[in-house]
Amino acid sequence: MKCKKIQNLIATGYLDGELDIHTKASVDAHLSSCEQCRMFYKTLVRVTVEPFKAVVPVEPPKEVWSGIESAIRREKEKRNIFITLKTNLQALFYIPKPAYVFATVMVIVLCAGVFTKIHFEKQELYQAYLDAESEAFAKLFNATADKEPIDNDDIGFGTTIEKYFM
Amino acid sequence: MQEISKEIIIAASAGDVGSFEKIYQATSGFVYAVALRVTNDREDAQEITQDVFIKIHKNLKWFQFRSSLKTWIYRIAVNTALTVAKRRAKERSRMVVYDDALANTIAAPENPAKEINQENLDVLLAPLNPQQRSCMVLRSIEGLSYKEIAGLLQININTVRTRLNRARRLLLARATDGGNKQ
Repeated sequence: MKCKKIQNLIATGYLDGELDIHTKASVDAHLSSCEQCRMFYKTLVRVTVEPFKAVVPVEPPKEVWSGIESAIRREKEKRNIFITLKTNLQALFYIPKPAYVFATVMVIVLCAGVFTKIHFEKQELYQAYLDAESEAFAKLFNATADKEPIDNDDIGFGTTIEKYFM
Repeated sequence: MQEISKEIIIAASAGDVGSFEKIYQATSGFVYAVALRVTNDREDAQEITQDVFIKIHKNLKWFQFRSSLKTWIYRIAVNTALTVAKRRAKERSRMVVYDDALANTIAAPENPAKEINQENLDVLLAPLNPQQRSCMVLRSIEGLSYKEIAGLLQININTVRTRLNRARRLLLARATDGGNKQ
């Protein structure tokens, strides 16, 4: 492998122990024979690895948690205000359930009554019409049945041509 | 990393402040450290830590246990810190006194155990952009694997590798230039 590629590997996976065994062995072999890359590696460790090992661990100051806690409390209070408001509104506009049930039943009964009435009224009207019609036909029928058969000879239109042929 | 029990998460999401404090105790160290090291600013780090935990408290009831709670918290923390750092990077015209910091910290390789405080670390990481900086912090200080970093930052593992490579080469170039100047 060329030095450029080796140095890229050193600056990443080799330093961080993230190379597979074979690649690591290749880098090791190269380092044992290349002075330039060995220097690169040593300087890189000195400049970019060792200083970070001595970094002092840090913890957030106590006031951070106090700030979070009071923010949580404020949020809770805000939520409680909304809950109280909702409960009060519900109480204000509260209608007990049985009232709803009763009202619903009443509406259904009323609707059913109105519908049935209209339906029957219509049916009665129709029936009356049919009865009247049948009666009229019956009268007509009876009237024609009672009369004597019409003599066709007596029927005339009174025209001259008719007289001529007759 | 030790996981937070399901009972604690459920109790916290139901509004139990004591349980939420347990979650805070288990994760705030990482959140604050990453925020501080990525932003370079204590006040920003405190604000980020506070914001992250308030955000988590509000959204905890939606947590569905598909991933670890810690990973979720750390992801929010890293992303919030990165957003603030990017904004600050635009606002601030940084004075890089890298050579001095280098003299204070790494110029004495025979004493690598010397403690590095936040001020020195700030200067040490100053040449890096927020993305490179977050990768360096997560890898070199917090000791996360490439896979974990990729998961937290939601980037490809090769991108993690590239950012670390560039960051280290930048630090190396600065150190070498500083050495040449002296």
